[in-house]
Amino acid sequence: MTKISDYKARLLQRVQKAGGQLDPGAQELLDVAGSDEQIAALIERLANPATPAADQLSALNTLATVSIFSKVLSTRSADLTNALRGLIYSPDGEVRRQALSYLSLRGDEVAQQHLRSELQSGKPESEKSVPTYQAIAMLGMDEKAIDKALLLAIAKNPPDDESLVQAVRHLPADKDTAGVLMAILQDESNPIAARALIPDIVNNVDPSGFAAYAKRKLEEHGADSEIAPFLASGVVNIQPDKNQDQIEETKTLIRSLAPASPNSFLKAAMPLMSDKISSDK
Amino acid sequence: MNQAEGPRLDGSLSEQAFAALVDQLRQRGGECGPELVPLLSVSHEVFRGRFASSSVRMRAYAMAACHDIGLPDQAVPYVVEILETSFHPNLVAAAARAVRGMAAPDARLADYLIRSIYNIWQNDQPVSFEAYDVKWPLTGFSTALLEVLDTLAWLGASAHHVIPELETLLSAFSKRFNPRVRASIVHCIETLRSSAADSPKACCCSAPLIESGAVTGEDMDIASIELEDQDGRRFEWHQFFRGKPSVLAFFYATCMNPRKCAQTIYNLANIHKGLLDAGLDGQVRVAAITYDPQRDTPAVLRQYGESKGIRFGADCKMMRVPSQFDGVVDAFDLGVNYIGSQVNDHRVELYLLDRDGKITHAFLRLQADPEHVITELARLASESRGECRRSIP
Repeated sequence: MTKISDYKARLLQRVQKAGGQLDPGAQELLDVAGSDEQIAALIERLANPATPAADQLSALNTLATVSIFSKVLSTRSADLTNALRGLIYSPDGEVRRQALSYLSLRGDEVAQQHLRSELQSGKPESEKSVPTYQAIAMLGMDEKAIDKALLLAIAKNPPDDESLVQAVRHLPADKDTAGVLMAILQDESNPIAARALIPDIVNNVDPSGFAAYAKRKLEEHGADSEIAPFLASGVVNIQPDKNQDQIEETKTLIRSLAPASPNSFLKAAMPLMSDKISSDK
Repeated sequence: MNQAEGPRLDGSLSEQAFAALVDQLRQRGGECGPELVPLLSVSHEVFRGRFASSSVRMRAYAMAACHDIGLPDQAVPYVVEILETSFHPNLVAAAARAVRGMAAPDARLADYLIRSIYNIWQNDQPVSFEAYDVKWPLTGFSTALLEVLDTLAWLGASAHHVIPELETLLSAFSKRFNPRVRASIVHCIETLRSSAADSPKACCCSAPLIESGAVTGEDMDIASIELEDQDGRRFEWHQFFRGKPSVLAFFYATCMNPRKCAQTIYNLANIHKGLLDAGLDGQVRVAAITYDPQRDTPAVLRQYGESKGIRFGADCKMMRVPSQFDGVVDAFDLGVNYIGSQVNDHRVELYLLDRDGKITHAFLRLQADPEHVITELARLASESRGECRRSIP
């Protein structure tokens, strides 16, 4: 059996061998990653308000890259956080976005609070640090950083289509959210990217209610509509329910539509088709 | 705090108004210590409906104020709990800072401070308690690690026994710290050495800083509350918690703190094993109830329990309270708070109940010692057998 130490030694040999072939850019990153002085200097550039935005972005990119593997950078986390919290208010939009993104990814409470305040503020999109859809995506990286009430408020009154998609993506499936989500699904003026997410969120909150809606839409528009494959997928993934007859009727309809349907519908319905084949056998 | 005169201390209070209140107490000084203590509790109504990070920040601000007004004795368990279990740099920094508000250094805190270093060294962050809202970036700032090291140095002679631990940090883990923190460790070691040489060896009191153990249980009006176990079986509270003594832990499956819920359930599995080894199979019951009945479905409970080594059976279950969990929170005065249906913070809690379902022991804030729990359960089981014999004519 290979010992861990043997494995580690072989890995080290491979890295050292590969080290000789590194391009200058990669070598430079490796040097930065291992140097406390260079990392401190990059953080200092971020913290200095006189640094041009382009230089701040360059420093941010380098630090974000080396953060994946640098043990030295992790010892400087307090200095880096301090600098990045300052950049949340940078006049440069891209600097703000990258600073908020870096901090949010690490669950930083100051960045999270800033993003939430802006989402709750009712400010025009143009005055926000980052657009609403980006703020939701950043907060959504920490399950406890954004709550249902805030997401529901955005879903009911989104500033744009992308924000609606992000709000729907992060809403949990429960009795409080199912009604709003079903209304978004049923409103055909909403973007398909948002509506398509909903069947697999709401299908198990009220399984027979969802199955009844899917059946009605599929009867009206057949398998060719944009939403049809997603309705089929939602029905396929329904858990057994008390009102199973309603669900079985919808499944039967999907099976009957599948053979002459577009590929996307057929693919979504496939698990039901294999159920049928095995029950036929 | 006179609520009739002050703002409503509930979830509607703004964070800034909360901070202003803490600032007022801080200005009034030591006499306000007892008024500050309730604000350190995770279950205080003022933290209801808040995001976890907001609740942590507010508690940290109140905790840090103990540095200025003097740390009341009643606040010490909260300090110890945070140093032992928290991974939040802000809270750990505040707890460490609060220790420096004690009337005299207490040697018992040194080990907790050392353990807190291992909780936060991967995520040291800038902290400031001068004001609630500060302008970033700060020109000169402290960090959680620096606050902990400052406090260890402040403990002086009474923390002399942790010098080897600090030396290990420098020798084995030096690369995990930046030059400023390394310098602070060196300074701390020097201060502890010199203060030990200057003053006679401090008396090291052995009494625990958090009392856990016997409580006088009252009748709880929850006998008819419905429980659901990891297999979806439903029954009433009294059907499981009456007839035999039991150990009951509270947890939730999505808790991200490895020192809290995951450790609690591992600990419960060890306690169960110890009970079986002690020949108490069939005489006691083992249970864990989730704080989060909405997300912790029977399937989640089973999977979570199995992953932690719980051996399910008729006398060992993980459960949720599908519709009346508020009743359980009130009956046990549980240390938990929520935003919507989501837990925003909680403490570690494990209880022993007698055969009538009354609480006899509470192990709060720190993980219970399995030996202690098993000994007490064995005693309760023995009492229970005695009562059974007496009741047979």
